[in-house]
Amino acid sequence: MVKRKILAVDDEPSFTRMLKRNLERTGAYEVEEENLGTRCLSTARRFHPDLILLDIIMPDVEGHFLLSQFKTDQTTRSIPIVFLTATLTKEEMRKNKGALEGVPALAKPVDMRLLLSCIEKYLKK
Amino acid sequence: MDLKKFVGHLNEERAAMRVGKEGIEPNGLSLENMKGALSSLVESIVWTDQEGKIQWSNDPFDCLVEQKHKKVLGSKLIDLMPLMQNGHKLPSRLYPVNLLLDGEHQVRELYQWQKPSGKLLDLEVSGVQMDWNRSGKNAFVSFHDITEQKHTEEELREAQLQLIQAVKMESVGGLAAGIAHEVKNPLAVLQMGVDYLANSANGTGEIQAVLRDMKQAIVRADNVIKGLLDFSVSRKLEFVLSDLNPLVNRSLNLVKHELHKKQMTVVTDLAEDLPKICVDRNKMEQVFVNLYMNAIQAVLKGGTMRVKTYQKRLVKIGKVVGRRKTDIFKVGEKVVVAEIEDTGVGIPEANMDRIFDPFFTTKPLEQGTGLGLAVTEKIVQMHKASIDIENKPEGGVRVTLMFKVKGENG
Repeated sequence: MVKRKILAVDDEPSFTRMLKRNLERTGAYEVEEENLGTRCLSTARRFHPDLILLDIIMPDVEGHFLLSQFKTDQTTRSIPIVFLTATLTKEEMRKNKGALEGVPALAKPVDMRLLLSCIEKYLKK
Repeated sequence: MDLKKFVGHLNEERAAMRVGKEGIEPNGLSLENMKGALSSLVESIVWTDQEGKIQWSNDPFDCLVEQKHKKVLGSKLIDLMPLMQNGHKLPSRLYPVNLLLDGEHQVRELYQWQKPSGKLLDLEVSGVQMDWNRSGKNAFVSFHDITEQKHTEEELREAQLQLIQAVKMESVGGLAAGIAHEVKNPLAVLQMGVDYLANSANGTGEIQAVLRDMKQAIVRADNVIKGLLDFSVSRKLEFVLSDLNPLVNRSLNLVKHELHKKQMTVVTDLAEDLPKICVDRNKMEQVFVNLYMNAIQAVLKGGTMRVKTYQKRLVKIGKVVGRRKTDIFKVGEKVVVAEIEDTGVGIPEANMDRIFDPFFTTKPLEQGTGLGLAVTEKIVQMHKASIDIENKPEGGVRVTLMFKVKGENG
């Protein structure tokens, strides 16, 4: 089975590490971690992920800016993106029907089952 | 010259008194002179004979009691001005005049008096006892209307309290938004870690139980953060003109699972044609959900929750109803009311003063953060509405929410 590629972007290495462990253990995914916002685009160009999990508040670059970079770059524009953020509460997410400004979003802390079903829903076909 | 100084002056003069045409007169000061002097004071002044009957009054006193001078003379204070203290009728023996005639040399007290027109006055009454012409005691009493002054003081105090509260809330709000982000990130790591271990620890049930507890603790911490965020004043409310009943029903729908679990009966009595109210629908839904959840958690299996809405015109002064600027509602105003009643155990009286305090809870840890009612009260206040929680005599709790009707007294 071909493993699907996930790029996990978050300034907190322990979080991306945990994501990698959890997702890779399922045997269905290969996860690349990126903890520097400024390096995201080049990592994505090299790694060709099938989905990007994107933090919003990071010390060096804002998630929304990265989103616009991904969406304007030829090589990354078609990659589905899911925000994974601590700026929203779960209640707000429910009200926004799981999206933030039109982008699918999950509120931290996130349950693995919810994360997996979200990834499967939006994964690049 | 105030009354006390004036009488002190009289007493000093007393040594040099002599008998004149009008009885005993202080040196160079006849009774007529003194009456003239007292008449020009703005304070309301009377003096009485030893039976407490008014022998003399000045114009301000006659105006205060709204009586003709002739009617005032010979009357007793208790008949002209039935006084109250702390909301109770003042017993006759405690009237300032009677205290003085019974031997007190001096009195100074605050009283209330409801004028025949209905207006409630706050009066500062001071008096001295004197033996004017050695023919018996006289009471000499002045009345100072401090109603306006008291109202101003009260308004000032309330404004100060509100300001302190607002500053507190703002600092909590600002802090909460900052903390939320910083705490949720480590929580997210913990949650991922626990999920990882739960899926790999194929071992004992005990390890699984520990991991379940840890996961619950993470959820609880996340709920506390959510509660704190609800305080955040930076989250502005979005007011829209709405009907109350659909909001009541939508919120009921959100807790139907919990209602079902407890096999509860819900009785709704929602009045038709309620006037619209101005609310932030999401926030007000949160208020109703919080109150429903409290009711659900308070009742035993198979209990009942009643939800009632109606409109009414406020006729009585109450906790939040009055005539002052600081009162949320004015007497005569039309309001929309929602009542939520349960058949639970009620709230111990000792806890009543604390139920709105942040982090005060009597629920088991996994059920309550102690922020539900604190947030509820905050949201209600931001709507310029009111919330009242009381134990019903027959048991259980009644929560009453009152909302302003658009176009009614601002």
